[in-house]
Amino acid sequence: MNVILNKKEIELPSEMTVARLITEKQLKRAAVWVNGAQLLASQYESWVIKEGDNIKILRVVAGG
Amino acid sequence: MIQDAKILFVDLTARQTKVEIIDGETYRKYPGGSALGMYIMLKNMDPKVEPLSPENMLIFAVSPLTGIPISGQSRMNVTTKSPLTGTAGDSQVGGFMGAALKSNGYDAIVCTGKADELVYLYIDKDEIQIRDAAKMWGKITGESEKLIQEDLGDTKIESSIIGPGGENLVRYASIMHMRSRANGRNGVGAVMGSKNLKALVLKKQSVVKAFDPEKMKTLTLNVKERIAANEVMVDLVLNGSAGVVDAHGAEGFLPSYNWGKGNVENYKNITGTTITKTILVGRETCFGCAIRCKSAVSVPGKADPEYGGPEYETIGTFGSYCGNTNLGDICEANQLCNMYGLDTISCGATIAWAMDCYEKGILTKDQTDGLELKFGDGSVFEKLIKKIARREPGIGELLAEGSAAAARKLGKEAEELVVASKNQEWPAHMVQMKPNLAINYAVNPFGADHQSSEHDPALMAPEDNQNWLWPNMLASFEKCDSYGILDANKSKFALETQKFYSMMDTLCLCQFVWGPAWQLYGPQEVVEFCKYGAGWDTTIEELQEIGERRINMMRMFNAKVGFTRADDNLPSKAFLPVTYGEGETAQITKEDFEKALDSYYEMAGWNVETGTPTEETLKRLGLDWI
Repeated sequence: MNVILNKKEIELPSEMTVARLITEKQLKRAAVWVNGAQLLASQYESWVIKEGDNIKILRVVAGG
Repeated sequence: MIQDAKILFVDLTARQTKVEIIDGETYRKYPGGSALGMYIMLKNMDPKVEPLSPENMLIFAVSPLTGIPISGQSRMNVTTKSPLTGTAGDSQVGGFMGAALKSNGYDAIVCTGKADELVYLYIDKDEIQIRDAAKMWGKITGESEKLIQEDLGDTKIESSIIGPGGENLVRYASIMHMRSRANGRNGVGAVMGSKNLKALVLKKQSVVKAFDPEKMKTLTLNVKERIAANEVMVDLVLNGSAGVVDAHGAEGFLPSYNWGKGNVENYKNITGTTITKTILVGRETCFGCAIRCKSAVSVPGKADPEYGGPEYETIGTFGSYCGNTNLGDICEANQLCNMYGLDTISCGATIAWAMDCYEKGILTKDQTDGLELKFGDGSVFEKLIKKIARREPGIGELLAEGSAAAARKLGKEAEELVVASKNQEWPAHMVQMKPNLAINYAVNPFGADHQSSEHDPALMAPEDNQNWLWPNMLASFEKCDSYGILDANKSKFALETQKFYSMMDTLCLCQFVWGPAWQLYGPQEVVEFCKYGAGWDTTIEELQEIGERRINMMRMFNAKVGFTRADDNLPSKAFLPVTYGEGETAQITKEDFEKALDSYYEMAGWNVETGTPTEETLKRLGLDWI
């Protein structure tokens, strides 16, 4: 299926969850918006991405 | 109730000492660190003194919590008037000095005057000696430490030592502890050098006991589980602060080429992950800390583990700032700064500025002692650092003043390339990504500092994540869903989290362990630590007010020197667009910055025209005595 991730169109396998996407893209400590709405962290495991979703992922980068 | 504070005053000119007590009621308003230091300075010193004169004070301070066995409580603060910024000066160090100072029975040591020859101060509880250090002149920190141990015939000591950088009054000289821990910022080492004080040496003593050791166990017993459950802590244990290079590099916000870009090609050569895989030989700790984030690296011919390893900031300044991804050169620069006693942030950033000037033809080979200062070439670090530390005539003398003062000698074009606030070079966090830091870098009383407010990404965190929940224990914030946003919400975030960080610098807590977002322990646990550790029944509100009081004392100190809103500014490069991710752009504008600054001043209770705390604010904080 095709989705938009951070303004770029990409292809993902079906039944892809947000948690798996984060792992595959190596986006540690991510904040995730799907179609403009932010997900809770507790939703990442179960949230299944759908065809045409507009996804934004930003890293919650700490200080140092 | 808080115990009384015991303060040791050392007059180096007269070689005399005296002890004064600050009662517990007063100490509760200024409970340690730079709040205590500022209280002592404002009561006893004219803010207009020359920073490198005998009249300046050099204050080493801890807090009622220091030395109580739990992670992240053994920082030692140094307060003085900074020779780099001309403002109230402040710097913190980890390691074992804080616990040793407290276990010797002192809450602060105040050094004034100037010894007639190089000396070191030795303290074994009530036995205080000012000892000859003439043979240590010009010696690097590691050698000096060995000479002190030989002189005392004792290795059971802790010491804070200056290197040639401090002796030669380099304006960003550090004070080094354990050869790898630094009171790095604000040039506190130069003040120590101006007093002919080579080292502060403390005899190791028994561990300080908590007020309620049983209750303390509710915070300490489950520490391994706490670490395992916190992604940032897991990364810190594995990669140290260098892990931030991975994140900033991947996102495209790693300040590079003297802040001209947000990334450097091959940044993966210098990430925390790469260091862990290639040159890391061990991790060291601070007193009582379970995290052990301090790295020790080995690069044959360039870096020895005894001088530690580069932290995130050092990888930034000697790495990406300089367009350099040679890890060996970064480690060598880190080691030389630790040997010679220079702040790695200001030193690396000043060299990056010089490279920028050289590339643009503002600095020529005639002015650099024949060195080619090109971005990407870290082979010049060794010569430059030694020239700076020794203040060798030419490029050494020029760069020893810091980038802002050096630029003023070269002219307008050079000044445009400086990335500093109040003369202090910026740490490696881009304001385009973290715009609340634009406010913080500008208003922070002792110059740009990355550890004086929480960083913006906490406002992006999911609402069921501690990064979002903990800051909202301090005040209510609005969500943020992109970089480059600078508005009143960010001003509020800057102010409220700045108060919290200011409180932590007062209580001398490590900001990797205690904090309002991603750390191991949060705001409510600071309250519990105060109660179980020191018998101090406090609240988050009282702690926030303590932090606010410290900031306002510093602002008043600066106002008396002559600092105004005009000094709360940003360098030109802060307003450049940064390209990140898939070609997106983040940028803040001057207009947004000025509006956000107005909001900050109004919320802080400061005069919007002058940036000075109003009479009403001072009265509210009990500071109308200033």
